[in-house]
Amino acid sequence: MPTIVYLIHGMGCGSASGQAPAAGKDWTTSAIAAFTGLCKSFGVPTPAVVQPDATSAPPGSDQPDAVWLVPLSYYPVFDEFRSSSQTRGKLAKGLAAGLADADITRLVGTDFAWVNCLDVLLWWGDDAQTQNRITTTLGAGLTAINQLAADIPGATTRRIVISHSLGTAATTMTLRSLAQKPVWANSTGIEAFFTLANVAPFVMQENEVYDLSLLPDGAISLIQPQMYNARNECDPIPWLMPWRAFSPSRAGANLAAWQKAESQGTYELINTPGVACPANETPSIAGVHNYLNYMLSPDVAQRIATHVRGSAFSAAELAKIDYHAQWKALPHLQCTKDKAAFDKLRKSVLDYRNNGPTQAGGNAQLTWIRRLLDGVEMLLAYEGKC
Amino acid sequence: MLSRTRWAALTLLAALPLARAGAQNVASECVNGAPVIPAGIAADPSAAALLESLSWQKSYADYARLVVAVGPVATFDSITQRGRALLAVSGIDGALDTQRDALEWRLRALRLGISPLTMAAIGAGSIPSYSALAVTPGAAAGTVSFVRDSAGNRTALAFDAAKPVPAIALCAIARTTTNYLTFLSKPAFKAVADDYARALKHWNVYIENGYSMTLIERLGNSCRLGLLNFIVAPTVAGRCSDKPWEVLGPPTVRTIFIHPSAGLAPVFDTSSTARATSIAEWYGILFTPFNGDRILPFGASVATMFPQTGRPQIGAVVHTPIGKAGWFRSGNSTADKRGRFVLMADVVGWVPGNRAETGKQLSGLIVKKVGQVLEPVAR
Repeated sequence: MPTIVYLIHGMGCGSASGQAPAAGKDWTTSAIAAFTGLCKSFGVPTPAVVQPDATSAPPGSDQPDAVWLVPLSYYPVFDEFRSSSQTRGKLAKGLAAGLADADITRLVGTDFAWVNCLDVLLWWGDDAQTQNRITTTLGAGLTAINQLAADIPGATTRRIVISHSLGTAATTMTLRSLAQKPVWANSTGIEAFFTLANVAPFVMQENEVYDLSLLPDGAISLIQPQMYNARNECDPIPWLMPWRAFSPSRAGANLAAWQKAESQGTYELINTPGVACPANETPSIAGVHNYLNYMLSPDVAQRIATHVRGSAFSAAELAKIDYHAQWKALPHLQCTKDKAAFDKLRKSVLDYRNNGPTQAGGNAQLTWIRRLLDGVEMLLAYEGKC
Repeated sequence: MLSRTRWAALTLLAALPLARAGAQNVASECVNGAPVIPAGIAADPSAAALLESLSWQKSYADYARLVVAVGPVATFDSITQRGRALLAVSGIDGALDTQRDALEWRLRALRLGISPLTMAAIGAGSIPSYSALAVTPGAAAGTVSFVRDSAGNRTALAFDAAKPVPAIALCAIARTTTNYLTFLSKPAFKAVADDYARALKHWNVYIENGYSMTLIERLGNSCRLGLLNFIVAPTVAGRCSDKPWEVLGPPTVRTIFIHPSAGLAPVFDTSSTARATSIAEWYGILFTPFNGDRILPFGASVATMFPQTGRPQIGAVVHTPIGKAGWFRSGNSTADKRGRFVLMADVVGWVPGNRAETGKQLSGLIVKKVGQVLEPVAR
């Protein structure tokens, strides 16, 4: 009463034109449906959706097992910029003067690349405003809903954060912001922090990402006690800069503390397989990076359900639920042109991961955006082959 | 067809696994702050009442009353005393010594930390860290991740299916304590929430009423122009080193750099009441402080007015909370000084979004105009 689950989206949730999506078409619709389905699969209570500007608690919030689902959006910050653009190329060139014409062409060539990659460009190019506004937006939603829950008499409030892609960086920044406030730093903070396809180390500094204020179960940390980091075997995005991919072994000055967290199990890496999507949708091969593909993956879903319920599932319960079978029953990727396309993508991602540059060139941001474009184009190429 | 008796028997059988699952959920009941002693468990007759007395969910009103009546430390002591009373009848044995020692050690440390604090200090967020007492789902079914011991290592607490009361008691003490300290911290949590809400509101106001930046100004404001940044936006260069998580809300000062505007110069002559002009603000400074949720921009810049006829004129623009106006050199050599005062509107600010493209296009027009003007001079 309640357990609050914050969902924070990744890049590409805006629109190519920058206009607000039609009602029922934004990222929250499918995310809420998928999460609700997940809860149903594991037999945990159906969540009540609470918008970040809600001023009253939904009915039933005084029940001990009440669950609130809070979708937090920050993409309007990027869409505002996109909507002002008449000419994509000029805008991109203006943002990152070092980009070659060929890179610009790749960036603006498809709506997919434009919507996904421009977010990252803006994150860098306009950092003092974009990052601050995103931190403020997410922090406002997070604290407001926490306050709403705290006002329920006799409440026990638990907090779970599930972030994806660029949202992992946005959330990392927001949690660092919260950790500056003693009342949050001293509290029981976030019970479980899920980062799905974590890109925070690519857009933030090492000492920021692995700061002790985010160390799982650390004495002065906001994460109390659990952090999960998920990667998909065929998703290139967590490998944009392989030498900086999220890992306790890259924690720099806090290496020992992070390695201890890993050995004690308070930090856990989850490798997820395949491409699936909610029942009413059709998966594409590019969906390997999709938020819901990660969220619904069995090892991620079970951990989410565990924290939502408040206790681990016994072997007998898991056998009865048989989530793996439920996941298998979801629409899975079916390549018709080339049935081996997914296996080939797996090899390509392995190659992308192992045979790319071993460190950034002179301009780390340009290396990053080129690798991002490479990864996005790889996925798009396989869409054509699949 | 099944008889009514057989239906009843089958219904009972179907319910049995649920009853067992319920017994296994002692862990989640505690994690969710609603501990109960499962039905059918042999326990001291007073245990259930003592647990209810300890439980934050059940005794919240009592604790809230106690805080007012006897103060926060005495209420903290009341929790530990209720916990000890429950433990005394729980039948706890040596199997849970590690967890009990860890809990006792943490409670002692916390009491030391809060005993000198006043309610005002507590409300301001001065409560020492109690994250070590967090109770969360354990790795295995029927367990919880329990308090950190004195060495900083998280302990695990298992609920013995046949004898769960001691673990329930330990878990309830930790959970009630964290809930209590969170309750005491509510004013401080609210202050933080208010800070974020205010900063978000300020951002929205800033974008609507004080944002208006061309792309070059925006990049300068974000310190993205390298050395050029110190020309475009020296006033905000200090913000370049800020971490976004350390400073909430929009900047309170920014540089104006090659910013296009439109203006209307009142003349009241025989042909018209005003002349339309375009203005380029070359360089200036704009402060954007807030009074409550109102932005009060003020500043000044050096600018050039480009009238529809005649030569461009140098002057200055003053920004005020109610708008901006310019004063420029007279465009002719006669005594007619009309048209020097210009009321201005921020054309860049009219376009929704961040107006980057519009700004660029307008800048381009201005530059072209300047080129036309300077070309004869260059010749």
